[in-house]
Amino acid sequence: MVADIRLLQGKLIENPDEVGTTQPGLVPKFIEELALEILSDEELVAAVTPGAESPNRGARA
Amino acid sequence: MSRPQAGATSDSQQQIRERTTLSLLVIQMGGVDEVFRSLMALKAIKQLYPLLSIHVVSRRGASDPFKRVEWIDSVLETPAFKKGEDPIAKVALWIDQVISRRYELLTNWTADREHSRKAAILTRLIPAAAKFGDYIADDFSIHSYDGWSMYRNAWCTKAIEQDIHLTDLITTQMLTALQIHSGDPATDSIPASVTSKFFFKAGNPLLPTAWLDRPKGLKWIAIHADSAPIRADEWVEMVLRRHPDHGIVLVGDSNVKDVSALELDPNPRVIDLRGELHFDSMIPVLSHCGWIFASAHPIVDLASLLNLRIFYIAPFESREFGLKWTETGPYGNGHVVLVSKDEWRPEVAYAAWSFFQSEWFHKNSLTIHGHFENLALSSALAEIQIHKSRIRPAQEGGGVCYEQMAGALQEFESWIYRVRGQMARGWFCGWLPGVDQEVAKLNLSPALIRRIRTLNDSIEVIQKLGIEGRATAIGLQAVAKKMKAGYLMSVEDRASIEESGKRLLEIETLIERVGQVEPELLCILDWYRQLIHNLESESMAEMARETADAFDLALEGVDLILAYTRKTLEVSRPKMVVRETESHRNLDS
Repeated sequence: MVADIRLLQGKLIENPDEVGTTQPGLVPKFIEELALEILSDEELVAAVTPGAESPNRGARA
Repeated sequence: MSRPQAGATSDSQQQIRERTTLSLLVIQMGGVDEVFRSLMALKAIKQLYPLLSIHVVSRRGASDPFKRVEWIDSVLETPAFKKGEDPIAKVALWIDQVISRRYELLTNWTADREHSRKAAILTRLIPAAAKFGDYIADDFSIHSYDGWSMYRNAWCTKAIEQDIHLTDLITTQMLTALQIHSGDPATDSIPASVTSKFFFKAGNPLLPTAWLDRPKGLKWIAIHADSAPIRADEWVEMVLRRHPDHGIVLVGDSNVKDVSALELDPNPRVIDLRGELHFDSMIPVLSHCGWIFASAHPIVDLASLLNLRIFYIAPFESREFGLKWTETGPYGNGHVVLVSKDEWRPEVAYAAWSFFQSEWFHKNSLTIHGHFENLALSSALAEIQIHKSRIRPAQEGGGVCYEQMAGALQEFESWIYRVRGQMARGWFCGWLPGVDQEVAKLNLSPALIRRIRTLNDSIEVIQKLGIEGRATAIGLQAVAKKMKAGYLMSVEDRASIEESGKRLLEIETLIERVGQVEPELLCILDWYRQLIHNLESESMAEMARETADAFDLALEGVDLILAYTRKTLEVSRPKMVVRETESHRNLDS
């Protein structure tokens, strides 16, 4: 078997300076979802315990 | 793991050096366990591509270990929100900061499902020339940019057992990418061990007095109290009683109550540091220990990084003596893993640990069986498995593997587990060990041969279905290509397209039915479905071509399983042996 280079080279982005997607209106939606995800993380951390996650804390996924 | 032949170049060293000055952005939004695994992978990559600049985006609260290594160029944490602040505006500003720099390569290494969505959004949003890992698509579903990430989603996130550690998976993904996009690594870069007690920048943290005042001259064993099993205190007492030169240091979170009921009698050789250590003070304490006793927990990944020997208690799995733990088990050489069938027994664990603890003294003059016999525990070996970790040499494919040293054999499960890993190596590395040599290593019992024969029958059915699926997809592509504007077609072509589509679905259902009879083969269907989930084309003809490619790739795996089953059955077939009789000898003379 020979490794299939298409699966290994990753996605080559045509316009690497462009943020995310050319679909109109999609970037703000992504940012909104990301903000809510990060916010829920923040709230969770604050609810459980203050301070950083340490090797002493946090179960494996 | 070895790198593929694909993309290898023969450019001059100077040209390669010029091109290795790439920048890589790693998105790691998972927990600290994933952070430690990413660090191990990045260290290996940095050794081979020393001029690569490495940048990381990580979750605030889990990013500290990234900041403690000198060779990571920047660490960007997710933002913190103040009360009343607009989170969307804040995140938009933060994204602007992240994209202010140009990255050639971007990879998302977040596997933790709890955090995979935000990592996928970031992967989509941040610009880069080549991207790897999971990303969010226009329809808000999660897809993968590359084969290794598809593989991880198809198999590693499910109960499917395969023998590639997650650290090796991400390492190989990025080394392969660098080889393709940047060329071979510099010849003067010598791959060394990625684990070391000096992995992190030396700090000067305040250490607990109890640790500073510890009795001198003892060999220390760290016990991770949060993940240690119930009755771990009995194990500790055995160690203290029989090894007067050893001390115990308890680490873990003081808030975790009653996990192992580790309540020990006062003893100057026991130091309780539960709840007293943070990341920076944990490192010097662990670096002074010879062993750590722990189960599934991020501390195992930290101990692997620090090259601390681990006595790992494998967590219980859905299957008896399951091997799923090997994907995240201790990484490096010489770690010992104890897998129990039922209840964990401290005396058995002690027997296992004490054998490896004293292996330098007995220098293989004593077997594990002999050691268990000396402790009157021979019968316990049927209830456990003992594995030892080893880093394979590059010529054997590299990466960590776990060799079973003693205990109950699960011949077929171990066999299919190994074959699945070889399928991935075939798909992505272009490297495979010889089937003949692999089969020669097997201990062919009648039960194993019977089981492989049954599997052979089922895999042959899947092969036929796969070949038909590929032919159907190719036929569909030929018809779809004829369509003028993508939607104008003759009545016959429309009927043909409908029929092909229906047949492809039927083939998938038939493969699923074979998988219901032989669940070990459902992995083939999972892989095919993952590839179909990640189809990129928008035209029917191109989608049909990609479907044919998916069947092709799945069939490569099927062919490999068949090569193993057929070779095994061939080797096990009874052979006629001519007996040398008296008359033969007389004739010869």
